[in-house]
Amino acid sequence: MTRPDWQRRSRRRLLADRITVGTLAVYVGGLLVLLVLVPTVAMLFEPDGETWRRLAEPRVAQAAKNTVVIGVASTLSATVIGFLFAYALSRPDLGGRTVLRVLALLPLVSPPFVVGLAVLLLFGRRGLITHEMLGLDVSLLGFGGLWLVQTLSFFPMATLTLLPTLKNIGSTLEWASRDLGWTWFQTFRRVTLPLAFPTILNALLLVGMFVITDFGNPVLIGAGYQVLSVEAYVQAVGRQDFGMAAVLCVLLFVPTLVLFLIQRRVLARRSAVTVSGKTGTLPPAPLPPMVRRGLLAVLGMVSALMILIYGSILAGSFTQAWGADWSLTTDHWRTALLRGDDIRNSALLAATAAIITTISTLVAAYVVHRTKVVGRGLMDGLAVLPSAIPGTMIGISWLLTFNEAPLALTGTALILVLVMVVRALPVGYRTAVTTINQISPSIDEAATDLGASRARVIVQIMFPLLGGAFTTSLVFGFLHAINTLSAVIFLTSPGIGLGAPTIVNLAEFGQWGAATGVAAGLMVVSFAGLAVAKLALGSRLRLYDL
Amino acid sequence: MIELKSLCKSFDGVPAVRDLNLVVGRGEFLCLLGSSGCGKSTTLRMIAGFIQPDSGTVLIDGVDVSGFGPDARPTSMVFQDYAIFPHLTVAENIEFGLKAQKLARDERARRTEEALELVGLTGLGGRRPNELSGGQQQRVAVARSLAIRPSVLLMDEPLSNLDAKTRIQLRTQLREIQRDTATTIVYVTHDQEEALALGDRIAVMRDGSLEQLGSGHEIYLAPSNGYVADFVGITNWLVGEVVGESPESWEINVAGAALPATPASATVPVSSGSLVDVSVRPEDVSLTEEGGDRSAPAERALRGVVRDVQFLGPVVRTYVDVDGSVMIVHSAQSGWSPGAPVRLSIGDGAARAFPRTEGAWRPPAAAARPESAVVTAAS
Repeated sequence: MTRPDWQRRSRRRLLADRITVGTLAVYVGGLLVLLVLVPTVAMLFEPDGETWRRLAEPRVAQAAKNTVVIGVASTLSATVIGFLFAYALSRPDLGGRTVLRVLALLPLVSPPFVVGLAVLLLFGRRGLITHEMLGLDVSLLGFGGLWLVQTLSFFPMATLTLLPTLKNIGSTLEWASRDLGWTWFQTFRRVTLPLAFPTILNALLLVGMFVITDFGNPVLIGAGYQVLSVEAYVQAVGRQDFGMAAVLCVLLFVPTLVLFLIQRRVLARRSAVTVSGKTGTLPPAPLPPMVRRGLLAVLGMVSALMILIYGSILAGSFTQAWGADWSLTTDHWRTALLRGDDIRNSALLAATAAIITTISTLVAAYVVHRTKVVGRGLMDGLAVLPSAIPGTMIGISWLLTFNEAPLALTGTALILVLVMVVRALPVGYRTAVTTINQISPSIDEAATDLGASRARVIVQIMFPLLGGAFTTSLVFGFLHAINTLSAVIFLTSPGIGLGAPTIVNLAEFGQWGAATGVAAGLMVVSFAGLAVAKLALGSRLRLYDL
Repeated sequence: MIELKSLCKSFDGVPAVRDLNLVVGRGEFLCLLGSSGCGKSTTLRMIAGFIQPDSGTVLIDGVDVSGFGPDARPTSMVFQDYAIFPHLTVAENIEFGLKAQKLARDERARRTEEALELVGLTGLGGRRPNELSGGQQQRVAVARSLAIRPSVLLMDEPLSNLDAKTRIQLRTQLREIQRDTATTIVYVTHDQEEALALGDRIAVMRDGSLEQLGSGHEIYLAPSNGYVADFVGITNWLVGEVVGESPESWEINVAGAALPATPASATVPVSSGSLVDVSVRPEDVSLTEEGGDRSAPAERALRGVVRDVQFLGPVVRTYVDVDGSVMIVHSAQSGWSPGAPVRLSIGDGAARAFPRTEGAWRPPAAAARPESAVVTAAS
């Protein structure tokens, strides 16, 4: 008896679908295991018993203590400033919000250590303000400067996290409280703060992770104030003591991982108590004049400082020799943009990494959320894990893993692209998951029901629907890749220099003009990428929604 | 008691409320009815103190509250999306406003209990808002507002997020609570059935102005203009030519039949030969077999052909083709089948004629609104 035609076709279809899904799953799984799991595990086995015992050395204890102290201080101050920015941005009755938006955007789209570089220029030993203007022989380097710099570098992370929640609470619930007889301040204390608390906690954890793994700022202006990430760098690059470097990295990895895990739990639990989403047409309650003036005064001061900082980078890039010869020049720009390869390399490699990241994360999100492949949970975990691994640790672990056959990649452009991919992976993956989840399963079910194969559903239904999200993810990936420092600084070789590590190297040798030239050039490239995407997508570009 | 005097409010140059005057009596249940964007919510928010009027005054119990914030006004608002504080329990939500009044602990507890009982939620004080259904959450909101004993309870489409059954249940409960507590209520809704069911009086608004203020009866049976007639309930629109006039009744020629119609406004003069819009409610039309019943004078009835019959439960809705347009007829039962020729008789005094004055609202064309019908005169 011959089978009806449709039965034979559906058997073929089943096999074809398995091959499609299998191929995608192997790609995602292979990529994640090779780039995330293998180096991390290899790192844990690098130090021998002897090396582990060196954890007790006083300089390790000192670095650990410093990391904790600056970590707590910067996290708290950055979150407070970030909250004030977010609160101001959530109030339509407050003027000057465009300025605040741009200023909060700057540290997000430029390398975070640019702030450190600027403080070096302004408040360093030969700084414009400390030395030239005040004639002092002191500097802000060390704990104080680092605190200021990290606060200004990382507060936008908190703003970004807090803004949606504050916007949400902003209208009906606050009005309800005012209507029931409470003043603005009492409403703030009894309604706004308690409702924002889980998000504030989330912001604290997130900022904390960035602060304690920060490498660029402490290496530039930490001076004698050694933290773990810098100490690991010194051990690996300065003394070639990879065992010790690995120990320090693991020591830094543990608290970061703990923060990361707590943050995941906070996020999971928060969904149970979300503020009712519908805000209607009611505009947020206006602020009392006193509060408005106070808020504007504080934010005005922070803004002035930010303008000073980014302005000094620009000024530095046009100054012959900062601190010695103040004549104007375009030499540094010409060197940075025309003669030096670093910015070009950064842009090219970051663009490549962004494309790989975007495609890979979308495929990963599809495999994890739209198929029933074994190991989905592991893939999900590995895709977000890199946000818990300090960049220093990624750099050192890659140096160890990819130095010998069969994975000898050190010194190639490929290893730089791949490490950029790993740095951009968690954010890209989260964006991709949101995007995939926005496409209702019934749409691909409908396509399947009408006889389309998996492959056809992906190519003809998923891809076209991703459109704007694809570009957004691309820009995100590009900015992350081009601004990364801590991981790539270990992997660049004389042949292939990159912008970010070059800035640090130049700054360490006091080449302010060249360093600021490269920094300004890098920022121009970042903003150009952002502008191109904005022009192409307009309001559909949902990037850093401030 | 609330008095609104010449209230005006614009947003970005677009007027939302224009010169509104309204008095709400003590213990009255007043519904502000209108489609979205008519200014009803803006009016409510000006009473609550959420927004300040551009000009005009709001008086509550005789006191001018201009410039007062919502925390200083004796009003309390119930929101469409409940606005229950998600971080507090039901009892803490109700106590929230009582704490602001600095009441003693046992007085707070007593009033909380009382408010819970009033809305039928006794025993649920310890629950979290996310453990409650939408209807229960909205009852908590009502209890929270009533607990502070406001002079006026303001309600902004409080039932529109709920399912149909709960909506009707809560509607009845709300009426009882209002009777028991003698609270003055200003209630905003776009749902005409809700307004008819709840309001002692209804204020129909359009484009920021008051179209008509009156009891549900007056609004439905004696609409003062075409917009009110069309917005409240279902109606058939006919176009006719005035052929005879007296102060009480006009005779109007519609599709060859001469209908007596009540003029909607006695003050607007109308001359013979001018065109008017005539509104006829579906329940005021009765169908008889063409040529069968001779009792109805033929010149007072329209002629048509049954197009479709829909059984809706309490009523049967018959669609009748009249001169190329469709009229809706409601009756208790109908033995008609599609294609049957019928005669449509309109009850005495049931037709209302609206003169076409400059700038007045006109019924939209039939094609755009399959729900109602326009019969064009054969002139």
